[in-house]
This record gives sequence, C-alpha cells and structure tokens, in this order.
Amino acid sequence: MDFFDFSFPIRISMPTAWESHIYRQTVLIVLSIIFVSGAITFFFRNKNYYFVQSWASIKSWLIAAPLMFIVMGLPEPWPLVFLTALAILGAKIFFQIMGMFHRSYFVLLCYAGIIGLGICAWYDRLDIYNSMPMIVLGASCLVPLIRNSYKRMIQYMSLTLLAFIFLGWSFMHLGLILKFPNGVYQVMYLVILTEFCDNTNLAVGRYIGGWRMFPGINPRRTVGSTATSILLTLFLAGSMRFLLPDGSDKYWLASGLVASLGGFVGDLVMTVVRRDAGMKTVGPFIIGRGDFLHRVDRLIFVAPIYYYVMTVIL
Amino acid sequence: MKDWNYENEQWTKLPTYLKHLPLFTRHIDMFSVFMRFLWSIFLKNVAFKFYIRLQVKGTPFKEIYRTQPKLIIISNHASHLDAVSIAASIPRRYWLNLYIAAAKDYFFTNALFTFFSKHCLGAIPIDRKDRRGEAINLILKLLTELPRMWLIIFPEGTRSKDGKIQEFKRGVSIFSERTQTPLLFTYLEGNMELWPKGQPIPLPGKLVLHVGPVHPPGPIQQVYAAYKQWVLTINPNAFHETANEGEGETKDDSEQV
Repeated sequence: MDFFDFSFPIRISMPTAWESHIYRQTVLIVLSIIFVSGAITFFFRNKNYYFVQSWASIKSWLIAAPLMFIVMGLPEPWPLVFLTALAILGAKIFFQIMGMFHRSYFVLLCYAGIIGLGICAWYDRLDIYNSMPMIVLGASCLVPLIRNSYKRMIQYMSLTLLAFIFLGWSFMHLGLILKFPNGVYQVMYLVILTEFCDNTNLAVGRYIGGWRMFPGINPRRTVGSTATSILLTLFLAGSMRFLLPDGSDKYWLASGLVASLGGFVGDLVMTVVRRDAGMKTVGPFIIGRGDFLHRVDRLIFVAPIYYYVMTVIL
Repeated sequence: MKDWNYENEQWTKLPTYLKHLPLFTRHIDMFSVFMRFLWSIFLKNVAFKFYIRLQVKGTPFKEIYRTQPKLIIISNHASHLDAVSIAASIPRRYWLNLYIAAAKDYFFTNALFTFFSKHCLGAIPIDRKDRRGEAINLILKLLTELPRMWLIIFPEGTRSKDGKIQEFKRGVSIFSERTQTPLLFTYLEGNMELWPKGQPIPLPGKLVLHVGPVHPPGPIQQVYAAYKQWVLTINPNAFHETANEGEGETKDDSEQV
C-alpha cells in the first residue's frame, strides 16, 4: 500500500492542502528531518554552546512545524487568517521593543491596518494593499489631534509606520503569495528556506571564520559563514523545488537566492532596530531561542522580494 | 538632536514572570485584558454558577470600591478555590485593578501555570524562600504607585490542613502599614469541604463568602485579633481551641515569614 495514497474517512467540502499527495510528502520529509535531528541533538544538548543553541532551535520547531503544517493545510481563508495573526503578533513584539506597546491608539491602528492588508490579500486588491501604508500614516497623523498632545508624537508616528511597513505590508506579502498557484507550498518553501539559512549561518559561524561583514551590528556574520549558508540554502532550494509550480532552474535558483540574501538583510535590519532600542530579546518564543520577531525577521524582506521576483518570472 | 526615549523597561528589565505587572507602564497588556475577560466569563457565568453555588453575604463590593481605591483583601485559606472565589464575587469591571498574591513555587512552575497565573489571575509571584524581600518590595511598589489596587492575600501563608484558621504571618501588616492601605476582612465558609488540601479537583457544592468590615492598617496581632473576633460571630469553630492563645499572638515576629 502506498503510504501517500490514502483517503480521508470524512470528506471535507472545501479542498485542503492535506488532500494533496505533495503536501503530505512535504510534511513527512520536513517533520522527519526535524524529529531525527532533534533525537540526535537531544543526547548532546548540554555538550557545548553550539548544541545548546541547536537543541533550543529544534525544540521550538518540534512545536512550531506541526502547527504550521496543520494551519497551512486548513481550507481557505484560515492560512491567511493565521498569517494575519502572526503579523499582528510580530507587530506587538516590535511595539514592545520600541517601548510604545501601551500607546494604544497607534498600536490598534497598526493592527487594524494589518487586518486591512489581510482583507486586501483575500480579495486580491493589490491597489488598496499598496495604498495601505499611506492610509496608516494618514490615520496615525490624526492621533495627536485626537489626543490633543504633541509630546513624542513624531517618534510614535514614525515607529507605527515602521512597524506597519515591516510586520504588516512586507510580511503580509506571504498572504499575496498564498494566492499564487500552489501558494501554500510556496509560503512553506520560503519559511523552510529562510529558517534553514538562519540556522546554518549560526551553526557554521563558529567553525568558518573570515572577514566580519558588519562587526558593528552583528559580529557573528562572517563572509565564510554567510557564503556557506547561501550555498547550503541553494542546495535545499533545489532539493525542494517540487514545491514550486515550475521546477525549472530559474525558479528554485531565484527562490534560493531571495531566501538567503533577502533573509540576511532582513535579519541585519532587525538587529539594527533591536540594538538601537537597547534590547536583545523580549522573551522566549514557544521554547526556542529568541522571541517571535527573531523567527520572522528574515521573512519581512524575503516575502515582498520573492513576490515581485515571482511576479516577473511567472 | 535629542535621543529618542524608548521607555521599554517593562520588556528589558523585568523577568518573564513579572512582565504582566504594570510596574513601568502602568497599563495592563491588552492580551491579559482579553484573557481575563474570558476567564471571568468562565468563572462567574459557568463555574461559580452551575458547579459551585457561590453566595456573597455582607457589604456589596460595589459600595466598598467607591470609598476604597486601595485595599488588601484578606481571608481564611483552606483550598485553591479561595482566591478565585473572592475574584468571582467581585464585579468584572473592577478586575483590572485586582491582583492576587500567589506562591511563585506553585503558580509559576511551568509555562501553562505561568500563563494562567499571569493572564487570568493577575497573580503577583511571591517567593516564599526569598529572604531578600524582593516580593515584599514588588507589592509595596505596586501598592504605592498604582492609583487603584485591590490585593487578595492570605495572611496564613499556606492552606490550612484541617480548615481551622492558623496564625497570621506578618507580611500583610507590612504591606498595610507601610503603604497605609486598609484591610478588608472576608471569610469563606465551605471551602475546606469543596477542595481540601491533597484533593485533585474541587467538588460541586455551596460556598459562602462573608464580606466583613474594613480594618485600618495596624500591627499583625491587632489585625489577627480583630479578624478573629469578627469570624467568631460567623463560625465559632473557625479557630483551634487552645488554652494558651495569647502565647501565639505574642510570638516573636522574626520567626514568621
């Protein structure tokens, strides 16, 4: 009996990714890799810093990966709702880092804007989607008038717009990608590639030295570790190209490069934000290393670049 | 150009188990507000309506709230139902000013308990083994700086095994006297029968919360004597009958935590 050739005992009226052979195969491959690496790392988890970090990362993915597959396998619009909720969670962490989480008017405005982006993505209204940053900026300019206060309002307006652009407009391109052919697979493809690139860079950074690219921002990112992580990510992108609607070389090469280079820039930009705000992390996300923003910071650059690259290529 | 002031101390200086407390921001997290609302619906409209029939006797909390912006609510302690019973009897609109002093080694032991204690109970963790007084300072800071705060605390320190009220520990008086916060006497009748120490889940039944007088700040012996006098009018068997009662009340404070 073919493992992937089973049918659900209860038919779901709306088509879901779970009914696809490719989706189940992907789930099996990815979860197997995570669980096998988890099982190996578990025994060495206290051996040295590298294994401590690896185990922490794998632990978080032991929970996050099945959750991601379950949600992405749900019928529409639940994957989009899930992405919108993640964007709001990311914005929340951003506001906490920037110390304006309790400036409720601005925070709620940003959340409302993100929900608006989700609705635009659902209805394929790219025109309104791209106007949303202006709408949020315009609305946030009204807050000082409503509050009848000017103190630090430039700071709050700027940070609200930054939060909305990064965690809303940029991140929610994943919602637009969902609308592509096999969009669910492409979103998962991007998440897996960016996370893999981040972990690889961290892992090999201790062993492969070389010139430090941005010592003032992140001294751990060297030319050697970055180049190695890009090559390994490209290899993974090629291995998992069956998730793309077209398996030809230009698609997986473009995807791999966007995921690794865009992710690299996204990671550094959010490090700049964190360092300027004077904090490293808000709190642990699930049980892994870093907070939620650490997990999505690469995607805020990857998602829009991937979207436009694919729009041109497809 | 002047540097931007980020005011993110809430997220940089506090450990995870304290981030829910309005120590720097003076605000409650919106997520906590939402979780507390859901919890209040479960507690007031389901658990304490159908499973446990809670009856409140005495002055309505609505009247007390008008005159007492800050209050330390003390009660007898014989079960895990006690804090939630008192919370369930307080109107939902006052909940955001309501805090519960909870043992850190019990209510903040794992992620699930910590989540519940932080977001549903608004619990202030008390490290019972802490000799540096961090928990005391935490409560003193909140009682001093917040414009409104009701704190539920059990002066016995731990749950009574036989349901009889034990000697009060002096922490309550420290909080009350140093911040000039009055104390509200409450007495729970039937808590021991519903969920005694060691039983895994509470039994269904009737629970009565007696709301008593507001007592001015004072030394613990005085508070204990006044509380005892009031409780004896409700339940003459609430305390152990001892021949040398006075001895316990004059015990050296330094022995008490």
